[in-house]
Amino acid sequence: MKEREKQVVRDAKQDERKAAPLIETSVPEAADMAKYLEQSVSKLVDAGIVEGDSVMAISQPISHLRKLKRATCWSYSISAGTPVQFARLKDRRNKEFQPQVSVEAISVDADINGCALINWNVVLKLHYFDTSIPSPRWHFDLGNQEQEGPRMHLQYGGHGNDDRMLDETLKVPRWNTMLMDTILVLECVAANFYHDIWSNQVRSDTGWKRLVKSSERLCYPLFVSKLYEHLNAGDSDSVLHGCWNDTWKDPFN
Amino acid sequence: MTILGCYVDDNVDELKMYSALMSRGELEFTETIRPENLGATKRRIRETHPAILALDYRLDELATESGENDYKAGALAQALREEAVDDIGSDFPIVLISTEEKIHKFFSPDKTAHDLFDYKFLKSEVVTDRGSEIAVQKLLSLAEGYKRIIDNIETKSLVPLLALSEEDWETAKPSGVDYQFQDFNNVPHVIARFWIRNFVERCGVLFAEKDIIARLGIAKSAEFEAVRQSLIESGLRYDGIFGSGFERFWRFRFDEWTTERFGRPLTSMRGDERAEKASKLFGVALEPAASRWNGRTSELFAFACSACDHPTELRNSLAIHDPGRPSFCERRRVCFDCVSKDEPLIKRNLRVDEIDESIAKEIRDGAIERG
Repeated sequence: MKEREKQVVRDAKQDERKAAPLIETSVPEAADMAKYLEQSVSKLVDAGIVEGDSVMAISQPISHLRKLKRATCWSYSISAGTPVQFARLKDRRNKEFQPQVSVEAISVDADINGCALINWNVVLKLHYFDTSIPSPRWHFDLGNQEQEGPRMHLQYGGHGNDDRMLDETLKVPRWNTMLMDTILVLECVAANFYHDIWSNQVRSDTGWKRLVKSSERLCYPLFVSKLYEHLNAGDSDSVLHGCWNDTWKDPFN
Repeated sequence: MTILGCYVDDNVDELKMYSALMSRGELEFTETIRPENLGATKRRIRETHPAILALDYRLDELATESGENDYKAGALAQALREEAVDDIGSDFPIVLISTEEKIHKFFSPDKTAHDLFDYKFLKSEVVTDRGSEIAVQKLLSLAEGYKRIIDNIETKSLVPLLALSEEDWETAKPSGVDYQFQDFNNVPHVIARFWIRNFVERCGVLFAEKDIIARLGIAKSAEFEAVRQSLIESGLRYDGIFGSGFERFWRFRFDEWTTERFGRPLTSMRGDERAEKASKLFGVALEPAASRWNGRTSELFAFACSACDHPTELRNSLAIHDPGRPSFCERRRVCFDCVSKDEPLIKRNLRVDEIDESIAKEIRDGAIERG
C-alpha cells in the first residue's frame, strides 16, 4: 500500500477512535436518581458516619426528582442551610469540625448530544464550630465559556461561603478533573475521613457499589472521552488545553 | 351529630367543671365517671362507647365510694389499650388532662405511660374561652382521626388517612414509613400514636407554623395570617387525620411551591433576601428574622429552635438529646442563645446531645463569641 494510502487508513482509524465514545454518559431517570440519593445517605447513616438529620435534608430534592418520574432531563439542589452532615471529627489541634455536602445545582439532560451535564456545583465544606477558624470549602464546578479555566474543575473556596477569609486569594487553581456528584463526594468524604468504616462496612457493600457506579457513569465518561481524545492523538493539544473553556468542544458532537 | 366524650376524675367538682369546659359544638362530655376499682371503671367506660376518653392523672388522690381507686391514669389506659388490641372497633383516643407539674413528670418519654396517651392537656389551658375552644378542636380531631383509621383499617395503607393521592404519597413519603406502618398490625391506637408522635408533633414530613416561619426567614408577627391564608389557598395545608385540630402543612408541597416562586430552595437563601421576596409574594410587610445568637438577618435560617421556637441557623445551633428519633423526623436543635442561658432548655425538658456537650460548655463559658 502506498504511503499516502496508509496515512489515510491511519487517519481514518484515528478519527474513529476520536468519534466513538468509549463509554457514554448514562443519565439515570429522575425517580431512580431520587432513590440513589436516598439510599446513599441512608447507608451512610446506618454506618454511623452521616448524621440522621441528613435524611430530611435531602427530602426536597428527593420529592422533586420523584415527581419527574422517568425524565432524563432533571436538576436538583441540596441547600447549604440544610446540607448532608457527617459525624463530627477532630483535627490535629483537637478542634472539632464536620464535613458537610451541599449542592447548589446539578442539571442534566440526556437528550443533549455531546454533553449531558449542563449545570454543576457540588460543595464540600469542613465546618468548624469555632468561628475563629475558617471552614475550608471545595466545589466541583462546570464552568462556562466566558470563564477562564477548565470546563470541568475542582476549586477551593468560591462564592457564597460564610467564612470568606481565604476565598479572595484562593480562587485559583481550578483543577482540571472529572466532576463528582453528591454520591461520589459522599464516598470521597467517607473514604478519606472515616476510612475504617468505609473500608470495612461501606465500600464492598453491593448496594453501595451500585449507587456509586451509577454516579460514575453519569459523571466520568465526559472527562474520560477528553482524556482519550488527547492522549491518543499524537501531537494534539494537552488534555488541559483541550479541556479549557475557550477551546472546549463537546466530545460526542 | 354528637361526638360522645367520657371524662374520669376522682374530684367531683372538677369532674363537673372540666367536662363542661370540654363540651362545645359537636363534642359533649356527657359521660362522667368517678373511678372505682380498675375493672369496674374499665367496664363502665366501655359501656358508654365513647368516641374519646379524657382522664385526670391522679385518680387516686380522693377516695371514692368504693375506696378502691388506688391507681393512676396510666394503669387504666394500659388496661383499655390491651383490650383494644383484640377489639379494634372499640379503640378510641385517650387524653390526659391534669396540672402542669404532674403532666410534666409523668409524660416524659422515658416514663412507661408516655405512649399510652394521644395527647395531654393542662387544666389551666382549658379554663379560658379560647383555650377551651382550641382544646375542643383538638379533641374532635382526635375522635375523627380514630374513626377514619378504624374505617380504613382493612386497606392496610396510610394513604386513605392522609387526604393525599397515591401518587403524591409516593412523592412525599420518606423511606421506611410504609414498612413501619405494616408492623403495627392494624391497631388503631398504635397507628394514631405513630402519626401523632412522628408527624404531628415533630417537624419532618409536615411543617407547623413555626417551621414555616423559620423557612421563610421572617419574624413572627400578625402579618403571618396573610401568609397562612395564602398557603391554605394554594393547597399546601395538611387535611389528613388530626389535621383539623393540629394545623400542619405538607413539607413537600411547601418546598415545591416556594422553590417555584423564590427561584431556589429557601434554605439556600439568606434570611433577609427571603423575607424581602416573601413580602412581595404575599403582599404584606414581613420583617426578616434576626439570629438570636448574633442578630444578623443574613443567616441561612433552616428550622425553629426547640427551646424558643425562633428561626435558627444550623451553624449557630446544637443538637438536642433525641433518642429513638426515626430518620424521617428532623432532629431537634436549639440555638446557641438558648444554650447560653440554659433556662429555656430546662423549661422544655431538653438537654444538649452528648455529642455537642463540649461545645455547649464553651458557649456557657464564653469561649465561643457571638458572631
